[in-house]
Amino acid sequence: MVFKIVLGIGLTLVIIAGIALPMVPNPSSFFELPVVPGLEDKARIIFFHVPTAWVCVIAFIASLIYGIQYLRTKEILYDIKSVTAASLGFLFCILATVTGAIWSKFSWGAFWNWDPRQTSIFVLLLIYGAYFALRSSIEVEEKRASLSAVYSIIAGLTVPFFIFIIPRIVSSLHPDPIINPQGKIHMNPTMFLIFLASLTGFTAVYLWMFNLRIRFSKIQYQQQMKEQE
Amino acid sequence: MEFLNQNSLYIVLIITLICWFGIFGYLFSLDKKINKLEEKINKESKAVK
Amino acid sequence: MNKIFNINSALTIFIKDFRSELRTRYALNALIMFVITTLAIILFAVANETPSIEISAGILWIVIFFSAMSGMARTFVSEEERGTVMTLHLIAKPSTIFFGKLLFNLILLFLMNIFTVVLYIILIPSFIVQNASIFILTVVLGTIGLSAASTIIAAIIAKSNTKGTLYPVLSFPILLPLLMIVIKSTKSALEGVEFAKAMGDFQVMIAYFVVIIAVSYLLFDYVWKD
Repeated sequence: MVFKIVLGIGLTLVIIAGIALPMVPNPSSFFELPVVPGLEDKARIIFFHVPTAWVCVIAFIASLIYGIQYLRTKEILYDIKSVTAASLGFLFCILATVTGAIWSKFSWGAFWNWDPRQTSIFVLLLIYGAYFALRSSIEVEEKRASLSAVYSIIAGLTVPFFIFIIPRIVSSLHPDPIINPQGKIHMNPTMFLIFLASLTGFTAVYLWMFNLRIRFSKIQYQQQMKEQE
Repeated sequence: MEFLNQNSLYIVLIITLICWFGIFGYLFSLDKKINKLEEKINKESKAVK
Repeated sequence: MNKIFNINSALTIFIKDFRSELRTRYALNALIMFVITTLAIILFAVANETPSIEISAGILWIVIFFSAMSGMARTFVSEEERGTVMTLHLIAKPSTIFFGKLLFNLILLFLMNIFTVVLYIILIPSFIVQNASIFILTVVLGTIGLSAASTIIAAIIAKSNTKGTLYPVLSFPILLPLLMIVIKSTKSALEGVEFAKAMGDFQVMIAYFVVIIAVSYLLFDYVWKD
C-alpha cells in the first residue's frame, strides 16, 4: 500500500517538474532546465514519450520470459502472465508510437519519417498484433499457450536484430532526433533526474497494472475451475 | 484568450495532472476491490476446510 | 557420432513431398500464376512511368514475399488437411520432420524466386542489375532466410483456425529485418556498388538464417508435439 502512495506522489511530482519547471538558456539553479535550441518547451515530451517505449520493451521481454517458463513447466499461470504482459506492452506500444509521431511532427515536420527508431517501435506494434491474432485463432488452451510462447520467442529474437541492423541502415536515413537518449551522456542533471524518476514511475505503474490483472485473472481462473467441477 | 496563450504550459500541466489522478484513482479502487474479492475467497475456502 | 537428426529420414520426407507435388502440381501451377498475376498488376499500376531504383528493388521483394506466403505453408497445412499428421508423428523425430520440410520449402522457394527474378528483369525496364554477383548472392541468401522463417511460422499456423490470413501477419515482423537488408543489398546491386562494400549485408543475412534455423530447430518440438 505504502508503495502505491509513494508512486502516486512521486509521479505527480515528476509531472509537475517535467511540465512546470522553467526552461532558461543558462540554468543557474537546480530547479531550472536548459533550453534545447529548436525545441524549447516541446522538449518536455521526452519525459513522457521515452518511458512509454521503455515500458513497452520491458513488457515484451517479460512476455518472452514467461513464455519460456511456460514451455519448460507447462503451468498455465505462466501463459496468463505472458498474455497480460503482452497486452500491457501493446497498450504502451500504442502510446509510444502515438507520442513519438506527435514529437516527430513538431521536431521533423511530418508524423512519420521511417526513422529507424520509429520503424522499430512500429514493428513492435506489428509483433504484438500478430501475437494476439495468433492467440485468438486457437481454441485449445495448451496448444494456444505453447504456440504463443514459441512465437513470442521467435519474434523476441528479431528485436535485437533491429537494434543492430539499424546502425547499418542509418547511413541512408536521416539522423535521430536531437535529444537522443542512447547517445546522451551529457544531459543536464535536473533533466536527467526527472527523466530517471519518470522512467521508474512508469515502470512502477506497469508493474502495478500487471499485478492487478494477474490477481484478477487468477480469481477468474479459479471460478472457472470451480464451475467445471 | 490572452491569459490562455500566456499560461498554456500550465493548462497542459493541469490537464496532465487531472489525467494522472484519474488513472491513479482508478487503479487504486481496482486494487481495493480485488483485495476484497481475495479476502472473500480465502474466507470461503477456509470455511469449507 | 550423435546425430541431431537423421539425414536419410529428412531426405525421405523431402522426396515424398517433392514427388506428391510433382504428381498433382496443385501448388506449382497456382504459384506460377500468382507470380505472373502479381507482376501483371504491378505493370498495370506502374503504367508508362519508370519506377526509381529503390522502388523497383522494393517491389521485387514484395512480390517474392507474397509468393512465399502463398506457397510456403503448403507442407504443413496439407498434412493437416489430409489427416496424415498422426502418421508423420509416428515415423520420425520432430527435428527430422522439420529439416525435411525446410528442405522442401527451400527448393520450392528457389525455383519460384528464379522464375520471379527472371520475369522481373524482363518486364520491369528500370531493373538493370549492374553488379550481378551481389544480386545473385542476395537472392540466394535471401531465399534461404525467407524459407527458414516461413517454415517455422507455417508449422505454427498449421494448427490455427485462420491459417491463410494469419500467415503473412505472423511472418512479416519476423521477416522484416531480412527484407530490409535484402532490399538494401538489391539496391546496391542495381547501383553497381563493389562486392566488397556489400559484405556487411551478406554477413547480416547469413547471421539471420543461422539464428532462425537454430531457434526453429530448438522450438519445433514444442510446436509439433501435442
